[in-house]
Amino acid sequence: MDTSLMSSPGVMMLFGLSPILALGLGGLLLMLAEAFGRPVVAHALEAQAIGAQPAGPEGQIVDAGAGRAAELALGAAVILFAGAIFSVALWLVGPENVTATERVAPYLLIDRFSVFFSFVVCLGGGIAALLAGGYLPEHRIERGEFFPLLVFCTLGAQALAAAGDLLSLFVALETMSLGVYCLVGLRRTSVRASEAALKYFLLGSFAAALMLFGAALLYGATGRTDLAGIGEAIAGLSGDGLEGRAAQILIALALLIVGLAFKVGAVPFHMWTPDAYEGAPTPTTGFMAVAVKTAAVAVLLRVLLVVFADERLGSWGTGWPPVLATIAVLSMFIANFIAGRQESVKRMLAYSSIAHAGYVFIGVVATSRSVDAQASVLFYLLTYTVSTLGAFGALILAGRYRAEAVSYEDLAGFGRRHPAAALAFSFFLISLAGVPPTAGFFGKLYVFKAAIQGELYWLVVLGLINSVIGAYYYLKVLVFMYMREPKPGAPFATPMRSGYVATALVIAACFVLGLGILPDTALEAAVAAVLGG
Amino acid sequence: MAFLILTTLALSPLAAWLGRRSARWAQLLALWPLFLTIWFARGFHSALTNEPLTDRLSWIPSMGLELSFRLDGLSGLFALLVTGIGTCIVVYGAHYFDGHPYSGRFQATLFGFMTAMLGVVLTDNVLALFVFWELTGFTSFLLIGFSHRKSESRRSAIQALIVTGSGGLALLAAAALLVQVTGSESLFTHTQSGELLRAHPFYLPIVLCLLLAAFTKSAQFPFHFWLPGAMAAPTPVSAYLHSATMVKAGVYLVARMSPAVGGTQLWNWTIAAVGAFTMLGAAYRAVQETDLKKILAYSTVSALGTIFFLLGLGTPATLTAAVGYIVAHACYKGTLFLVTGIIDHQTGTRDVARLAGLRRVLPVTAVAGGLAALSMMGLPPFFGFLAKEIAYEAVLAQPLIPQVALGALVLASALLGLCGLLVGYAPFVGELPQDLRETRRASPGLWLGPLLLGTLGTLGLFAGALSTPLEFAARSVVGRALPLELALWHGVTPPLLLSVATVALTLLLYWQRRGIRRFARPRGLNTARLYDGAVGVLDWISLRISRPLQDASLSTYVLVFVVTTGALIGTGLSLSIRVHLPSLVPLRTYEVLIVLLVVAAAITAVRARTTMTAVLSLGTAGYGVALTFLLYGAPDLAMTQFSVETLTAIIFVFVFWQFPKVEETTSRVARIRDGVVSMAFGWYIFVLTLVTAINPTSSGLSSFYAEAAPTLAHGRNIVNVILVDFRALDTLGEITVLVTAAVGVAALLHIASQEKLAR
Repeated sequence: MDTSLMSSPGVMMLFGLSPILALGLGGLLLMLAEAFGRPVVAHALEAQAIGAQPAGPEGQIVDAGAGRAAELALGAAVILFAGAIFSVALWLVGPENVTATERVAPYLLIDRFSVFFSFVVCLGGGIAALLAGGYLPEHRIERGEFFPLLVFCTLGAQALAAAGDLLSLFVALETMSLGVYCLVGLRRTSVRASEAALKYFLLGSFAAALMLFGAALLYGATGRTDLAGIGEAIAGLSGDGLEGRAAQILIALALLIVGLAFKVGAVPFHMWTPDAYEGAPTPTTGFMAVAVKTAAVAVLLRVLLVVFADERLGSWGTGWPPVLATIAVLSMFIANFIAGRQESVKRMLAYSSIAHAGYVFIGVVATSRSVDAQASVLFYLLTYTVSTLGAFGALILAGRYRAEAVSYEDLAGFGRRHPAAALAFSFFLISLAGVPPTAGFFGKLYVFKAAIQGELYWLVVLGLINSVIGAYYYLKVLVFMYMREPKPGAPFATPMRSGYVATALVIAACFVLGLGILPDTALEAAVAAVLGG
Repeated sequence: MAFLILTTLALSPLAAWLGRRSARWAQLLALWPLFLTIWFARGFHSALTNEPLTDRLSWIPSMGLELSFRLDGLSGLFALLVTGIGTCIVVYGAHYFDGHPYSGRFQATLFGFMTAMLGVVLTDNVLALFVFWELTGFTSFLLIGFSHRKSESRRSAIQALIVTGSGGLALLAAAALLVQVTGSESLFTHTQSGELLRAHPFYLPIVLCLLLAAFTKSAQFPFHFWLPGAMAAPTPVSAYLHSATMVKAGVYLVARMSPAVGGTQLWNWTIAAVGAFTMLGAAYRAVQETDLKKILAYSTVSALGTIFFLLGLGTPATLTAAVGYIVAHACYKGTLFLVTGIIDHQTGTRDVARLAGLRRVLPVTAVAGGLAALSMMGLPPFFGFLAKEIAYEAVLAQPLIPQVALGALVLASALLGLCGLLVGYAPFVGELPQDLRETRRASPGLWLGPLLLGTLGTLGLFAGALSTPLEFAARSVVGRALPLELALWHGVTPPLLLSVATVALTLLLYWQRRGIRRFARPRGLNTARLYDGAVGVLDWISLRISRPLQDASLSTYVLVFVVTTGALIGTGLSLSIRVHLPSLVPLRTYEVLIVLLVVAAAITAVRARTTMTAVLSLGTAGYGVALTFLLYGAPDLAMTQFSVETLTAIIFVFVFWQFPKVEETTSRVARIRDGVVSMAFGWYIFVLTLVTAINPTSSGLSSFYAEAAPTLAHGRNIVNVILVDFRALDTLGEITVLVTAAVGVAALLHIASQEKLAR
């Protein structure tokens, strides 16, 4: 590359922001494409309604409309993977060498931490887009706005992980959340989806309001809005100044934790999760389970370690560790117990994602005492992202139009009908269960190792107990897939096929196995990405 | 070495492909384990004369996980068992599953298991040990659930996995603690740092975790129940995993860690007691069974108990005896399982009562079964005899427990000998029943494996030559060299007399076998029921917590949310609150009036029977607030508040117009609860506002605007100046957004009305 070009601050600025810009511009283009593209679907449906076009075998509509959603899906996936690739490029050059981006600081901090998360959420978003490319046409949810919304949500998630100021943090949070509310309620004719979206929206607004209140208190206490500045101001408080501000700061801490724990979906702020996850179209569910959660953990880490880094606030007596530890334990136990009882696999995966929030929080708690903990959280989120999206993707393939595979029974004999997808599903599930040598195993191992380093033995013991409980319901899926025959007359005689979903599964499976067999590169990246590292 | 182990895994797709072909092709797969056997035999030999073989492959250096392997006596012995018996099993399996739709799956999983098992016994890295350990459990799960049409086998598969998997996690915990204490992941280093480990405060948790892992894997009481359940697996699998290799992993772990953490009262007594109890209980249980495989399963549990018992006694001699017992057991038990498999395969039954006289139709199988039964009874010149001999000798010499223990050992041995006769002898003698006349002869591929293994037992003839390798294997456990003299004839010694007594007792029991079986089965010791109970309790708990937490009602969700947030804020406040109330300005009469108005309006809103009243009361409360704004010199804010309140009230009315009348649906208790929560939350917010108000922020922003507004923007209303002057661009942006939204709404309305027209 031309060196003079690279040295130009403008170009460097563009390069530094390229992951975010790719999504922003790409999303706009996608929106235009959606708006001005020919509504093939409507025509096809009309044509069929008046009988001009013959219905396919089994009374299904001939897939005339599949093309458009699929094209948009491809576009969205390209944009999101481009974002991921730009993130990798930026990582290789080193964000610290791209000094031009300091001009957008502290609103957007382009450091290794945010670039790592940018990669993870773009990867998650890209896989979700591919899943949608297969799912939406199959289930006749021909709503093209899905894809621009998905891209913008991912943009919000990226910006959230990069936010270094309370204002940009809130804007990013809402950019992400508002889109997700819509994505949940995409299936407008379904009562369940509308109900889920409404619940999510109401509770989400409530949580956002609480967070905003917390942010206002922080500003009131310190007179700053940038996270680093607030952190310094808090650290500088002592004596009378501290006495007057302590209540504000502690309450702000509580409110920020509540708001972010809500987004992460940790107990007891998880109530919306199963409803929303079940009601939403499966690709949305996958996206929420990974990108939203990941971005929320990212910003939680930044808030805790930059704003509330003061040792009084990071202590077990007067700080956040006991709160987060309680949330972690509750999340693991309650979610695992309820997950075991679920009859719907999708709902089981929803609870599983809550339980995983608990494991992640073990790592977050450990950051107060262990140097490896931050990296372990980052690595865990990466492994969790690919495993969860893969699992949802495989679940998509198990269903058909009007017959989404929901119960365990629906999966009986899946291993025979769809051997490749079932094999991939098994990998994702044993990764979620944490069985070696899959990605999930090293994720858990690293988190537990960090917790041991931080001498949080009891948390590790509880985490291990929960891993066993968790293994029970993940393996139950395997039992149904491989060891049971479907009841005679059950639907799903011919499982769905889709190149898009298959591609997504291949990508996810490569990551799950790659991270399980050779996790070293990713681990080193996670170590390099820690805040203040 | 690492390369060979990984190649085994890499070969599993080939195994799947070749395994699906006919037995003639599938049996070629045995060439690989055969090669490995030869390789490990050479490795064992060279380790005997030189240093132990080591090999390392960096895997995840940042986590201290590397594939380092170390072939010493104990590892080498186990590796030979795994590959040697594996060779027999691959050939046998190829014929056993000939034409079976899943024969490819079987061979592939078998290769996966072999990799994992070799990893367990050869690795020197404690974390890698855990990885391989869990992999053996997982492949075992797949193999137990192999004949998955029966719900019994699915259940057993999960049960086995949960029990051994939990033990595996205990192993992980132990590994983490070991690394924490010694600062090294190498098992070899651990065995060198026994002093440090035994004195460390983590010693107790380490031992408990290790033993939990070993006892679950090796099916010791009270975790023994999964092994008989695992008999739902096809017989080749039972022979290999659940008798010869995988269940010995626990034994291996205890033997391997003995130099590191052994030698204390805790260690010795726990292992010896659990081992002895399991040995007797399972042996007694074994002879009650009538299913050949169940007999073998319980006798395996019993044999594993014996090995633990010997390991627990902890003298060099008993440790050596344990190693000898492992080898002897693997040979004869593997043979008996394979023989059972042939019987089952050819006749379709495993019921002791229905089988007799099979020597006429399965002559070679009968020979193999007989050889194994004799070895299991402990008759010379079989290897079983030698193993029992050194065990008796060692127990006689140990100081730990009284000699009564010897009686237990003799009794258990006799019962086990009876099991051997029941499986290896009884089905072949006597009159062939009518319904078994048509039994087809077994193909050579089937009987070759058991015959080979059974013949291995006669190696006892070369007792002298066996001493060196056995002593070498035991050396890794004992930690130092010790002389071992294996011979068939030592003269008339106490061990020999005990052996004679054992055999006599065995024969007596065999003669009275029908009587024994009539004894009542032991009740109350059925820990499988404990497992079921535990699963049931978990089920019950999850039911109890799912109902209230998953009632899908938004108000419950909000309630939990608010209460938790309130609790958090309350904790924060109680930790920090030091409110020095400043001298407040005295209240004026009309202020009191306004406050009273707001309060009254709020109470009316809560108690209102109709929505309309509630909405209007809320509006009144809002107007009250607006009035206070007015009184405190914020007329523009008051104006805004007035219009917002009015608009809200109107919209509410319009909306509720369309709604059905709201019925009272909540109970009195629920309403009181909601009231308390609401008031508490309101109180928090009040305190919060107060705290913020009396500690005003020190930011220079307001003073800047106050100064700059008249001079720079020539306006005195600061809010207006900020909106139209200082932040004019933002305002423009906001207006644009509003206009866009309005256009959007208009467009939507337009479309809706057009659609209505079209209809």
